[in-house]
Amino acid sequence: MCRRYDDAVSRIAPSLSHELLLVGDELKARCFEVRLRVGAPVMLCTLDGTFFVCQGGKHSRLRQSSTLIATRGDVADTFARLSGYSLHSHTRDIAQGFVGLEGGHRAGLCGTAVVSAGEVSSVQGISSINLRIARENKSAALELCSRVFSRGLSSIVISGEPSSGKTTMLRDLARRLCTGLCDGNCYRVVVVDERGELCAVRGGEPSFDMGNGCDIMTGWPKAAAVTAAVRSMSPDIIVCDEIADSEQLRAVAQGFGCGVHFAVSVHASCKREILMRPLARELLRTGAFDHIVQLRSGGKPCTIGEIYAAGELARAAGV
Amino acid sequence: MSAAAALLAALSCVLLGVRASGNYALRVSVLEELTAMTVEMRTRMEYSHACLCELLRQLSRQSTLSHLTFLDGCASRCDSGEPFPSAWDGAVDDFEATVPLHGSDIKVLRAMGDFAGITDIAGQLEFLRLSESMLCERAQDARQAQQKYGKVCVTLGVSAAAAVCLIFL
Repeated sequence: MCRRYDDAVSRIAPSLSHELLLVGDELKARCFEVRLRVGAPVMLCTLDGTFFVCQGGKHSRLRQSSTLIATRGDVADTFARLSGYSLHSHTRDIAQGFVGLEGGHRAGLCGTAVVSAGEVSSVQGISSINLRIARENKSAALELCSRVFSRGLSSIVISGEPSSGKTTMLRDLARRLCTGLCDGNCYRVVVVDERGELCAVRGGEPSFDMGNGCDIMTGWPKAAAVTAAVRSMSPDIIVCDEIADSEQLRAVAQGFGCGVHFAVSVHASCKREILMRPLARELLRTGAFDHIVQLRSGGKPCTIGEIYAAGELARAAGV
Repeated sequence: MSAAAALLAALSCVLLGVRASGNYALRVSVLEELTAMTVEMRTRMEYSHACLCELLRQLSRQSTLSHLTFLDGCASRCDSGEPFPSAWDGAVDDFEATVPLHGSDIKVLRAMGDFAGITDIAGQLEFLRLSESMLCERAQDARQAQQKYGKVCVTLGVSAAAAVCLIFL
């Protein structure tokens, strides 16, 4: 039995979840994504590749006659369930193409964008759903702590490709820092959890073990959260996931001026991408980060590939 | 023997009259609470954007909405994993059997379940405003009906009781 898999899959339409729950425990444990597309086979993604689910919970690498096919109704029903039959509660997330779920899971959405005043206001006619299953790994940041945080706080950027374990590592790092598992000090940690993935707070309580406790700001836009946190929570370090635009970058840069450390993540699969991506270059330009932690692509998530000194990278990038 | 039967019949007539009158009053109370519920729902939804099941859970704890037993029923059904539309329908079905609401009152209530949660916040608030005004109208009708027929029912019951007594005694 894999509790997190079962928890995530039980939110899918019953016609599909019934079969998905019958899948073997070994596959459940390895599965990190469930993909539904209208008129297409239901897929389970693992690090070893993609599997089709067949009737009776069997699975196969090749499509078979008994392969489970998601209908338009299945996808629509799943979308309604994922949003808790309350689209009004998820409008902002849906406009960004996802729905955050209880337990830290996240459903990515594809469909037809509804554009209003030049901005995506909603997505209708959902055609595919990618259900990402949240995993808790309480040793994800063990190596990071011993290599970077053993002598005190640093500001770091964790970079990696999608599904490389950036969020899992940040979550474990926050837990370790507030619990004194890095250098023996219990730091004041503020977690800016804009998408509700880092701590998955429900009813004021995080769904993941956060040790001695962090101050968690769920759903706040990063820029507003950083300003509010610096003003009122006096953090030692602010942890936030996926710096994605220049406004968020400016908020981080402002926080540096106040003596706060940051642990953030960006999408970049290698050193060359870090040096090429404008946002990553901007992060380096702030001059406030000490280390860039590059996660290994492919293979086991949360595996550190390289740790670069940010200053050296900045010089290499000519910023 | 016949005197006792006549008295029993007369008592039944009076009780029927009082009960019919009480139903008019109860309909007013329930419709007033339903109106208050939509106002409360709108306010809470606007403030917190909370999901429907959470809203219903909060409302079911309100002592001022004590007649609205379907709130708790619907929240419980949602908690047990039932999809919201069928949870709402099922809870309203159970509720309908326990209160003297008219078919048109129940129709407004059912429509709330059909539209709830399927639009953005602006759409939800507009729909709640519409439901509120419809329930207000229904409550107004119920009040008029209570004034018009409430006392008549008691009077009719007493008159029928008197007639029964006169005939049999």
